[in-house]
Amino acid sequence: MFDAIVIGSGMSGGMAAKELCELGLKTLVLERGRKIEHGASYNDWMQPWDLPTGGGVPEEVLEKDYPIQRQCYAVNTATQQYWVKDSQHPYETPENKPFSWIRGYHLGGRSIMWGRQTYRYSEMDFSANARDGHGVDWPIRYADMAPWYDKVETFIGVSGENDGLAQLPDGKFLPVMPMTDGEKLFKTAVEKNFAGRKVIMGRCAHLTQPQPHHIELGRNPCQYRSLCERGCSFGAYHSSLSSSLPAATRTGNLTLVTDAIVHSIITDPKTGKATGVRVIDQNTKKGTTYEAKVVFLCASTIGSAQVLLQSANEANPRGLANSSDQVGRNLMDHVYGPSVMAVMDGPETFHRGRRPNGIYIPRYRNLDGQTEPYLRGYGYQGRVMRQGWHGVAMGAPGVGTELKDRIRHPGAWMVGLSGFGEMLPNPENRVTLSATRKDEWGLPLLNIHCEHGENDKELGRRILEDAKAMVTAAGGRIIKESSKLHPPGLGIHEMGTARMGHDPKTSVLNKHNQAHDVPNLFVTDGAAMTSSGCQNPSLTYMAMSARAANYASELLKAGTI
Amino acid sequence: MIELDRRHMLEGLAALIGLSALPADALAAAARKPSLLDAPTTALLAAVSDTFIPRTDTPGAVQAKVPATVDGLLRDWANPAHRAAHIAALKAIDTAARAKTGKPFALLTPAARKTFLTGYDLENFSNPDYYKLKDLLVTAYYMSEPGATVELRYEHVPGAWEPSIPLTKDTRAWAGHNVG
Repeated sequence: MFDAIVIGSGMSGGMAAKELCELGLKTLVLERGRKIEHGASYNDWMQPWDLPTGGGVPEEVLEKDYPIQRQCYAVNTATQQYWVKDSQHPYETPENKPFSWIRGYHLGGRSIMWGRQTYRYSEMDFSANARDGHGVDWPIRYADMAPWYDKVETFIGVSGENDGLAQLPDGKFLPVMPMTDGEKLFKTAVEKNFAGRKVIMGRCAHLTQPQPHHIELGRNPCQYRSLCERGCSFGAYHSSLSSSLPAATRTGNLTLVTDAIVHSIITDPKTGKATGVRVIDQNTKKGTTYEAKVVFLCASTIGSAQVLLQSANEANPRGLANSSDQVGRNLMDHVYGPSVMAVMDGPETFHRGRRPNGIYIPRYRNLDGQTEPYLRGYGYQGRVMRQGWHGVAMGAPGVGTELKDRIRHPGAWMVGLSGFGEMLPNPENRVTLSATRKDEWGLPLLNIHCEHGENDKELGRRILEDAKAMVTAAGGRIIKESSKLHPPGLGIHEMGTARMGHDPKTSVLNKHNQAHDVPNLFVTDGAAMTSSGCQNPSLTYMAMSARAANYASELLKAGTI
Repeated sequence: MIELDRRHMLEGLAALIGLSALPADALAAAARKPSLLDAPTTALLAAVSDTFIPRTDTPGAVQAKVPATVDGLLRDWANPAHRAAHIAALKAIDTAARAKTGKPFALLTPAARKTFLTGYDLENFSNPDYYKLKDLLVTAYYMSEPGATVELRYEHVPGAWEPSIPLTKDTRAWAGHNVG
């Protein structure tokens, strides 16, 4: 019997486990994938010429095993071990309504391959649904989250700057990674030409200056390699393997079981409370049941909905914690795809090192009330750097010494911008269990039905329009633009399938991420999100995980759950 | 058949950058796999690669083993349709050279190869099959150890981010991934 079981070892599960262990609770973490080791499992030592098949996964392998995962920018031979084989982990989507579910099943989950951009949600985000009536109201506000954002940022280490923006709250930051001269120029041009828009340095979960509590965990400063998605042997960015699980382990309270696919959360029919978790070993297919006083579900937005639906029983025929019928619904991702690239004049300077971070343009639409013909808003990630060898080589014809000379020299300043828009919650965007098809472990396949609504599509158009105006104002000459919205899912910010809310009739979780229906069950990953904001969401999942873990510990100690 | 003396050039290259220090097992593993392309196609690939990226004060494509790398990529990375398209795009260069000069591309002098390929490159820049082949050859060079470290500059562990350094006519571009 454990005090707590945490399902999932990724971004959210790692943080929940760390907090629960530090609070003195005997904690079991269940991970469906295989065990991997910090450092020993990584390929970050491979130089460009060491990469198998030049870094490109063989095309026939991509077609057969990774038709969905291959859409992700980070898939290559150095990271291939981290992506699920779609052939082994299929799911259903309706015809012409693709959803790109990008994932990895191994210890640490997507905390190994994440983009590391780290932003707080603001008061505006937590009141968005109340303001325009889409979705249900968040049962929390910024003040509820602020201390937990402080705590998590301090623990994981976030490089950034306090920019004093209400829509993107300041935080506890390590030294910022400075802008290139091209970025400074772009910032000046945008801020001069567009009142209310700010170009700031990206905030990322990298140690620019490790603090004693980072060094104690064996973490080192960022080496500016930009090989992050392979796993970082320096432990310079936060992941479960470099940071949260080592912190949990050193308490002596952590038990880790890998290869354990959750079959269901078991409840006591008399009390309605969770009593444990039934798992299937992914290799032997043998079943085991673990018992605990409290269960944290951190299996990822879609995975957590799947576990709740799979846990249906006589008392809960629609799935566990689903009296509201909201489990699996309101699936969101960020509106993603529209982007521009432009050549820009700039100072005769260059840069050294590969900065694993870029510039950020926080949301500037509909900040102080509804002023636009569409709802909510969008932000941008980008960078201004001198064009690298590949673009210089392939951007114009050329042969021989002239071509070689051209590539030898750093290229022109290039600005790139890519938008992230807030997708509205829609109950019809949902995951359900397939009625007929099962996976190799006998569990029902998921059916994912998700499509962009009119407001989402409009944001996509506005993202491109504004991006073009901003790069043009900075003197940029556009060389590439894309208006295409990627399928939902490919933003890899999926969320919303077990939303928080005030009312048990219309939401799954209360203001403590506690299931309305099951008092000792907490869901603290992206599933809990009531609206999507337009910021990268991982920090919020971690802050919710830490907050809920502390609340659950209080309840356990008081004997109320 | 081709004028390029690979052995001689590889010896020179080995002295230059210490290729002899490459792990013996990696070299042996690469050598064990049979080539995909036949000898005439390999010669054509070598001639085209080295015309794109010739030897200057730094190694050219043949010295950087681009033909062997591309042979390996076509064999182990490309799917059958793309493999066929790349080989067809390569052979199309030879066909056009024969039509224009009366000689196979690989038998032209280096100067004549360059003249021909410069015109062909301009005419075919928007031909996707040709563009992809050129991309493959050029990328194979700049991702090779000589291309990345002798021609360009590569630091596996930069250790610092310097956002503004002087740019002179001698400044070399950074090699590798994610460099702009």
